[in-house]
Amino acid sequence: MMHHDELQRTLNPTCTGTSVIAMQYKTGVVVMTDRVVSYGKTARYKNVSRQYKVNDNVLVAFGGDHADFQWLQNVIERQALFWKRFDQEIGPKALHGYLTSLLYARRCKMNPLWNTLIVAGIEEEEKNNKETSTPFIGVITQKGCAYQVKHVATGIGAMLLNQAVEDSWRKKGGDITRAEAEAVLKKALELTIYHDCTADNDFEIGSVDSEDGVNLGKEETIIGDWSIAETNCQYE
Amino acid sequence: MACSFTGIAKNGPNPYSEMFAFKAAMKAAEAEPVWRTSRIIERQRWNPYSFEGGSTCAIAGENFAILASDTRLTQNDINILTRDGEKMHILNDSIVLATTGFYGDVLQLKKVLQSRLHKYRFDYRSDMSVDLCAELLSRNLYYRRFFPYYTGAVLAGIDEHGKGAVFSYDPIGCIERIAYSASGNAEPMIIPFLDCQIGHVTLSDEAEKPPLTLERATSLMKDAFRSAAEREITTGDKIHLIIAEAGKPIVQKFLPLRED
Amino acid sequence: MGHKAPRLTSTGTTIVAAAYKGGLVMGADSRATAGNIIADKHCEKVHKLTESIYACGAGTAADLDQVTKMLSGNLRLLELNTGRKARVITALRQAKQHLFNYQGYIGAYLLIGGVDPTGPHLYMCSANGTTMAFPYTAQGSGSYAAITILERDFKPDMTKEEAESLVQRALEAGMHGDNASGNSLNLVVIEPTATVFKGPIIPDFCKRPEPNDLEYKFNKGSTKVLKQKAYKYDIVESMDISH
Repeated sequence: MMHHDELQRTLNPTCTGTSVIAMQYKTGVVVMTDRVVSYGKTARYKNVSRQYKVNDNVLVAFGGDHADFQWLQNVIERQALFWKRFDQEIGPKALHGYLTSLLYARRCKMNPLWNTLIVAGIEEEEKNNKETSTPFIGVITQKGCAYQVKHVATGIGAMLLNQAVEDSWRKKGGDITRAEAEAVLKKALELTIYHDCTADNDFEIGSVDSEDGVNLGKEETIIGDWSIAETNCQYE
Repeated sequence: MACSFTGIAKNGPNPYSEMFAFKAAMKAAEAEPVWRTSRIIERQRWNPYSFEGGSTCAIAGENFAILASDTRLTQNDINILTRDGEKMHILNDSIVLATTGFYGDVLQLKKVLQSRLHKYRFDYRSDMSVDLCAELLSRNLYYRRFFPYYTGAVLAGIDEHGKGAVFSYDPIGCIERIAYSASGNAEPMIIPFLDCQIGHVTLSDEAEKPPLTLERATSLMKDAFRSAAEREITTGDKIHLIIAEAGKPIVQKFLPLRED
Repeated sequence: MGHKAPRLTSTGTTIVAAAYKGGLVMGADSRATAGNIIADKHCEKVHKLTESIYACGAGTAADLDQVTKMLSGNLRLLELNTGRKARVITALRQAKQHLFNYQGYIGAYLLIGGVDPTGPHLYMCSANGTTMAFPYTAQGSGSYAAITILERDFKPDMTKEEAESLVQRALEAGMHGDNASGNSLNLVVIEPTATVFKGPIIPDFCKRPEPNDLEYKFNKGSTKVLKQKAYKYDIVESMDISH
């Protein structure tokens, strides 16, 4: 028999965000999300940011349930304030670890947070040291499986884009510039809108840079190339 | 359905009994509606586990222990999450934990052991020995007997006598100290190979048996993963090799594997 | 994740095809899997239906072999009966009607393509009988990675070389990013005048980066002899089996 309070758990996400794509460049990280929150296959809420600026070093982007993420924003803010009490700014690695534990603890309660999170940032103490400064991208899945990467696409993007993004990244041998990284991400978004019916062509590119700090991106739009539609003739 | 609606209010002593019965019936119907067939319930049950694939392996020698794993993390068996995942964790100068299975549990297990080892250092001012840590791991695994850490753990290192030690576990803490072990998706391939080359189980008594030197163990380990990557789809990208030798610092190496 | 991961009914494969000016390139990887294990490293997934019609298959290997065998037989009979070259649409109809009859229980996901007097054609045929026409498409578990490359780099009216390179790169993306695809790839380039088969091509990432350290040879006497028995026989006839 199903336990009564199971009805109150997120066993199905309702309003969701789709893929997040992020890439490291020489001195920072760029993170791209589209700006739609879907209810099933409908584009329920448009012009919604799926990125959250924690402080000047850390940015969190999400895919998955939007309500869960809004709750998470609250939790993250509280954690950031907790660090502030000791005159500290929470760094990306610490936040990544904290959120991993949080998501894992919730899955152990069989009451999961329905999110895939990307934590992007730069450690404060490494900021000024150009030699050791390594931008950070950490991924956390809904069940608390966490890992670090140099480039990533989550959600359906993991299947569609991971390889293409990896190939572009490898071609530059890791010496990719910010403009190049952004170009790869924009192309990647164009490729998701062709296949992911919950992806949108309105997007934003947030960034964490060792000099500029965190910048939430401006809203941008792409149209893509739909000329192929003209050849779409199913005559037998 | 336990309650009935007729006659309770008339004959029963409690004037509210009909209302209580109705509430109970509503609650029962809400918790298990008729339309929620067993199939729907099955589909709605959320699986707290996922499997990230890959393999690990360990060999104990006279004065060394050597561990290897691949570095690929996989989603749904086919999709690659990352080619640089870490399946092995150096816990201290003489203990290494290698794990496959659900990566969330792997990380948690690592964290639990690290914190226990840290506390041990604080309390006793020395590093924990591998034998002790092996028992600790076993108990930690059994602690979650009915919601297991879904991990194939292998713990290896140098014991108090300077000898190589490998401990093998099942997900709920059955422990065994053995000469060599493997876990993960390629375990059914690697174990027979090591049985043949280290256990010499197929050799006759008269046949020449090469001694297990560090060089030979390292080579066997590399070859095991090269062969596993040929035939097992979730094993690949890189070999992560960790060599612990008595009286020497732990050495780590990465070697290329096929990426397809 | 905001959505359920798609469950792939087609077993691990990447198959890709793209049309170009006056022709068609089709290709497939060569890995056949049984669960997590690679059952065949060099399996042939590009099936010849007629001289200028080919089918790439994803799904259950036995079903694919039988369906393509049936198609090629029927098409050959048709060509002999009519004295003309079979058309791609005929192959497609045969396939979809057969597969629809079996309600998807024949697990064959096909890309059927070729060149006939009406030009180059490319169709996808699902196990349940759904068919669609495409200028380019991919199927199998590696299709997600492959279609991304196709969508990024496809142009109408490409040259043969461009189309070949595109299909090869799409296949390589599928083989690289998908665990269940890999080993090597085969291409077939179909033009009105000639059909050229290329392969197996082995991309760099499919090669073993390092050879084995040790040699695994067993000396005579390695295996314990438990029992011995001698049979006496006469040689009636002998043959050379050395090669």
